[in-house]
Amino acid sequence: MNKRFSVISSKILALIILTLTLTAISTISEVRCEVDEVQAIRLLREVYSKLVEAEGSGADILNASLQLDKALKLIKQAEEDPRNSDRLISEAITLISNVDSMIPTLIEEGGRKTFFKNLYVFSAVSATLSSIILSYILSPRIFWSLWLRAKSRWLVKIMDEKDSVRRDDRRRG
Amino acid sequence: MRRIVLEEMIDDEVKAVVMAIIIVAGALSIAQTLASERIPERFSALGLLGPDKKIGGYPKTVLVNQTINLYLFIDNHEGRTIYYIIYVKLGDKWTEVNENKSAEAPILYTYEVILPHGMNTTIPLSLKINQLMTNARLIFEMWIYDPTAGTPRYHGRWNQLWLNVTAPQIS
Repeated sequence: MNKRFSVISSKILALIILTLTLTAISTISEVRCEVDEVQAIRLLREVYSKLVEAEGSGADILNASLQLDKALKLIKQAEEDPRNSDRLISEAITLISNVDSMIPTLIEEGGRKTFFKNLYVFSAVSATLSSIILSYILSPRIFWSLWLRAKSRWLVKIMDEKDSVRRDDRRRG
Repeated sequence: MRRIVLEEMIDDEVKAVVMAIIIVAGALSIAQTLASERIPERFSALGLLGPDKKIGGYPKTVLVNQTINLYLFIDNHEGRTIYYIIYVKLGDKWTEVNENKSAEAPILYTYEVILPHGMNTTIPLSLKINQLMTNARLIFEMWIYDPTAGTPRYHGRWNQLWLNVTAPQIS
C-alpha cells in the first residue's frame, strides 16, 4: 500500500515539476524577448542620437534614417509576433549596426559637403561684389566705346552756336 | 585723348543708374544663394483620419473590445530628422490636455516612427477599448525623442476622438 502511494506521489511530483519547468521556460523566454526588445530600442535610440549629431554637422542621413525606421518597425513587429521575435530583433539589430558603422563616413562626407557649400557661398558673394565693381568701372566705357564704334562713320557738322541751340529747346536746361 | 573724351561723356546720372541696377541684381542673387536652403517655418503635423483614410467618418459609438480602425498622419517640417512617439491615451471629459501639458491618462498604445525632414507617413491604427465608458476620449499625443536629454519630450501636438463605449447586446 505504501509502495503504491509512493509511486503515485512521485508521479504527481514529477508532473508538478514538469509543469513548473515549462511555465518557467515560457516566462523566461517571454522576459528574454522583452529584454531583447528593450535593448534593441535602447541601441536604436543611441544610434539615432549619433545620427542627429551627424546631420547637424551637415551629413546627408536620409538613407540611414530610413533604415533606422525600418529597424524600428521590425522591433514593433517583434512585439506583436512573439514566435518570430528572435529573428525580427536580430534583423533589426543588424540594420542598426549597419547604420552605426555608416555614421563616421557620413560625418566625413558632411564635413566635405559643408566646406564646399561655404566655398560656393563665399565665391558667389565675391563674384557678385567683383562684378558690381567691375561693371561700375568698365560698363560705361564699354558702352561708349561701342557707341563710338557704331557711329564712327557719321559726319559731324559744325554749326554756329546761335543755330545749334534754339531758344525753345529745353534739352540743355 | 580718347579716354578723356569717353570719361567726359559718362554722365553722373548714368553712373548712378548703372550702379543701382548692379547693386539690386547683386543683392538679389546673393539673397537667392543664401536663402536657398532656409526653412521659413518649422513645424510637425499630426492628423487623425477616419477608416477611409479621410477627414471624417469617425466612429462615435463602439462596443467594448471592438476594433477601431483609424489612420494617423504625421508630417515633418522641422528641418531635421525626428524620432516621433505617438501615445494613444484613454481619457474622459475631465482629462486636461493642451499644447503645454500632456494628458495624465493611461497609455493604451504607442506608435514610433523616424521621419526625415520634408517627409510624411500615414500609420494604420487598430485600437480596442476594454471598458464601458461614456464620453471617452482617445487622446493622440505627439512626443519626440530628445537625443540631448535621452528621453521622450512632449511636442505640444495632440488630437482627440470622443467615443461612447457600449456593451454588446445579447439577443
